[in-house]
Amino acid sequence: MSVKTKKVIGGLFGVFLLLMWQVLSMVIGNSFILPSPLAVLQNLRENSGEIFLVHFPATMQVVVVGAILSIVIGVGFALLMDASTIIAGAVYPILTVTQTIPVMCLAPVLVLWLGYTMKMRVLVVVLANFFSVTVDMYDGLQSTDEEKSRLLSSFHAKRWQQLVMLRLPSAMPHFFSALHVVIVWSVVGAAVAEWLGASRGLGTYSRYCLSGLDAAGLIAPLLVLTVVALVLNKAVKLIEYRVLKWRDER
Amino acid sequence: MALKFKNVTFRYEDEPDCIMENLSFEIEKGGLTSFIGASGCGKSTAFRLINGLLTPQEGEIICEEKCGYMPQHDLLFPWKNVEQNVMIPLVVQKVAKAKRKAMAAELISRVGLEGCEKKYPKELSGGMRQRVAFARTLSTGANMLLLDEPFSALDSITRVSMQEWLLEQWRALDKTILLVTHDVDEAVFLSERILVFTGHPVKQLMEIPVPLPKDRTRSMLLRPEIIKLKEELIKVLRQEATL
Repeated sequence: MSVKTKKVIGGLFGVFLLLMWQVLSMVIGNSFILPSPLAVLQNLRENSGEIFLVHFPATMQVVVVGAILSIVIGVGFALLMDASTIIAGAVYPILTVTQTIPVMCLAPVLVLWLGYTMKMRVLVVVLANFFSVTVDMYDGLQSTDEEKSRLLSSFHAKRWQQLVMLRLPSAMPHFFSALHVVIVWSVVGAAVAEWLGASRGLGTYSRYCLSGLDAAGLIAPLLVLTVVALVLNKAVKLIEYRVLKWRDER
Repeated sequence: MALKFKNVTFRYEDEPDCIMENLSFEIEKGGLTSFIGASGCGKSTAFRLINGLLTPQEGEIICEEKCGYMPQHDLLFPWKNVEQNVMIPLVVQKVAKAKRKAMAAELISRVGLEGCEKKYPKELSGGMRQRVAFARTLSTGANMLLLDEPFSALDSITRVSMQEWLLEQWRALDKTILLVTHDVDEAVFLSERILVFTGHPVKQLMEIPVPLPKDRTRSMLLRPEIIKLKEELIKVLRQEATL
């Protein structure tokens, strides 16, 4: 099956699901329980000023700052672990243990420590993310071809040259797979943190609508978040395609 | 003389037995010499010793030339194009950009790959990739080239062309070439002198001169004395293999 046919089939099925949603909401006939997709769009249009000018920028700030910090900290840990087996031995097991704590459930503790601040929300995003970056990146660095490394040694390459010329480029495919995860989970993490409490943000807005039993208003910001995640993901894909164009298409 | 092993003994740290013991041999400047032997006999170890990647426990290795190592698999960096791959040793040595570009251009045309500078390894055939690897070895500026089974991963037709190509390069280049191989035909066709690795550990190398001129052709391999030489070589290697 060609890529194009697959896309058409996927698109058609999406339209079908939307139609089913519309029909189902009409059958239920209660917008408190299941608002129709049209009602959600209607709500989004009516409140677009508030959603896009007040809440959207607030959320994006958390997403962007959180994602960048996740990447910097995650890659930093990976480089340290790659540079020293002692550090790797000390840090790796502890990182694994911390990851078994569901970060989303830890978020209220962060509220206790940091209050309803931007710091708290960014920290939720970072905690949800940096470990997967560390693991992916570390695996990438460690999977460097030993023979290529020996070849560089035969050219008398120094350690930092090995890192820059061989280890980092080898890890790039792993880095990008981490980046895809980071994008999605930054959006999720930001929304959850805002649910806990914030003066502004799409999560806050969604929660506010919940208290007013406005189901369409609850879903509308989620729709925006979904589109944000999709767009960011596509952007990463485009960059990935350019950066990794050397890869075999196998 | 380009290289001298003087009573060299070497053992890998985590292994009980020596790979080579009290081994001595010499390599003349400008020659093409093959190391032949069963796998695991110490040919590649000898290369790493020459290259300084390993140090012998005893004895001395005197190498007056700068060595350039060419591995069995091309080991081209897939994210670098042909030009960038050839320049790797120059980047490591921090040669200025304009100079290394000029050097790379010359080497790429020497190996007959003009026009392929911007191509990535995935776009090249096996033989082309090995030629890039050869150019990369030359760009180290080495006068002694250590070729570790350079053609063993190629299909047989490409291998034959690449062997002839290597002979041309050697005649044109005035370099000392050491070639590791386990292919008797390849050793006989390419080298002036064959050193056979036998025994565990290797204590001495059996030396077989090849009575063919520098500008040889494949048909000369059919001469009776060459066929006899090949038979002898195979006999020695088979004894080793059944041990």
